[in-house]
Amino acid sequence: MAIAAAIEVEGLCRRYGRVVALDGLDLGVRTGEVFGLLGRNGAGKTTTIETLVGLQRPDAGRTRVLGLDPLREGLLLKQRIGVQLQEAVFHPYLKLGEALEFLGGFYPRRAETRRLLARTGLADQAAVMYGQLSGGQRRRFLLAIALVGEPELLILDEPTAGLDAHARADLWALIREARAGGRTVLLATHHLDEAESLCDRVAIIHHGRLLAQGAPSEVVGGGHARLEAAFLALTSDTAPPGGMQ
Amino acid sequence: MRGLWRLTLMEARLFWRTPQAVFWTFFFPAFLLVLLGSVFARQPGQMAFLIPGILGMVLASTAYYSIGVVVTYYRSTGFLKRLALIPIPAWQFVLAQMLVRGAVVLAVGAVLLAMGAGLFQVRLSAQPLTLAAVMGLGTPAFLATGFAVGVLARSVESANSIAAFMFFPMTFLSGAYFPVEMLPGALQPLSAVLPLTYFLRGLRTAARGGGPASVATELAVLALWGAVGALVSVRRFRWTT
Repeated sequence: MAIAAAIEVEGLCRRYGRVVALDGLDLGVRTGEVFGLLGRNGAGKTTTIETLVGLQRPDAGRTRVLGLDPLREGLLLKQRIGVQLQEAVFHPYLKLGEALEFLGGFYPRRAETRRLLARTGLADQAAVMYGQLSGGQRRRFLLAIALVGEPELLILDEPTAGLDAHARADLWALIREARAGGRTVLLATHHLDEAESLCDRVAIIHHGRLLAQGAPSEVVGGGHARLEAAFLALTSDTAPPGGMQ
Repeated sequence: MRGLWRLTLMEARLFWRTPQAVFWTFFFPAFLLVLLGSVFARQPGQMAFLIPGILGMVLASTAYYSIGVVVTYYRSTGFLKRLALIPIPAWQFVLAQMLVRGAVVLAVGAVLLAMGAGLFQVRLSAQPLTLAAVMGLGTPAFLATGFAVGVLARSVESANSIAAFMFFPMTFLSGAYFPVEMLPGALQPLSAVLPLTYFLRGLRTAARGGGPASVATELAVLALWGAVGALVSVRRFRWTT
């Protein structure tokens, strides 16, 4: 039986002036899997994610997320996804507890605030304002926000950037928990150990193009011992174009 | 509509937690009223002239600084991008901003009137319908132009510059503190295109008991400014940079 696609991307193109961010990108994420989007800085990961959630309008190509068009059916889509963006922040004068209560009210289903704060390691911070948090706590809170609407699809852009080892381990556990609960997770990262440990399948993109897609063991192939070696070989600017599919 | 209500409550909470906003919107106008009153209160009719002027100043500063700069700040910090991921239509965000600021301006107006009556025995024989028309049209018109500043500015610095460029000359050229007729002749045509001129003229006419027909021109000009502000805001609004 075919597994339904959570995300379908075909021929996605996006330019910023003369800079080509996405150059005919194709991707397919299956329902219920943890999918790693790998690439060097500037490879197009964030542009891909922002296009998937309707923040960017592509120049060309087709995108369906949970069967919906992110631009034309954005409101319906946003009720079903949770997103942690790489750069987004929250208002410094909002307390964590009240922010989650406020945001949760926009979703048909919502996670209980205290449980969510506890799950993200912020149990005793409900009355603390976002502006008073450390960098790592802020990232954990942004993850809590992504989870507040009990999303079917969780999209995380570099979620472990700036986290200490404990927080990183907690986040990995949380991603595994989400998967076990039937959620699909799209994880953009350049930590290859993270991808190898968490992801059912990965895609490596470079200069806005797909170089390889498949289970980590399939992508490693070609005589490489680890995903990191395969990634370095594929994304070196001296590597032959095309890569493997 | 529950989403609009939630956004409005959140925005109101943020406003009250921003000390600069509360100071400049509530305390500074009250301080200015006391200061000006201590100088001009003995001159007959002077306070009845100044109270609408201070309210006009509050409306303009709320529009350009409180909405214009705040929207740019939200966008430049990424908070607006985060809000864009909530399942709400953009118009609800815009309207929530305007509802909070509109309520604040009305509250400041009430405080100024109460202070004027209590401290300086100012008695206005205002025409309620005219007053409601000028406030009801002038407030959203200004707030829409303020939102347009936030939409057009590319950074907080440029929003501040645009706000200052619009606010400071406008308060002097529109008759907030002294009659427009006292301006040099060369500056009077400038005064004639500024929305604050019409807002203040309408407010003072209402305060003297003038009927709605007597402020028709003022209402038309304010409606035009509001339409331009709303058009720019709707067409150019983006959640992201």
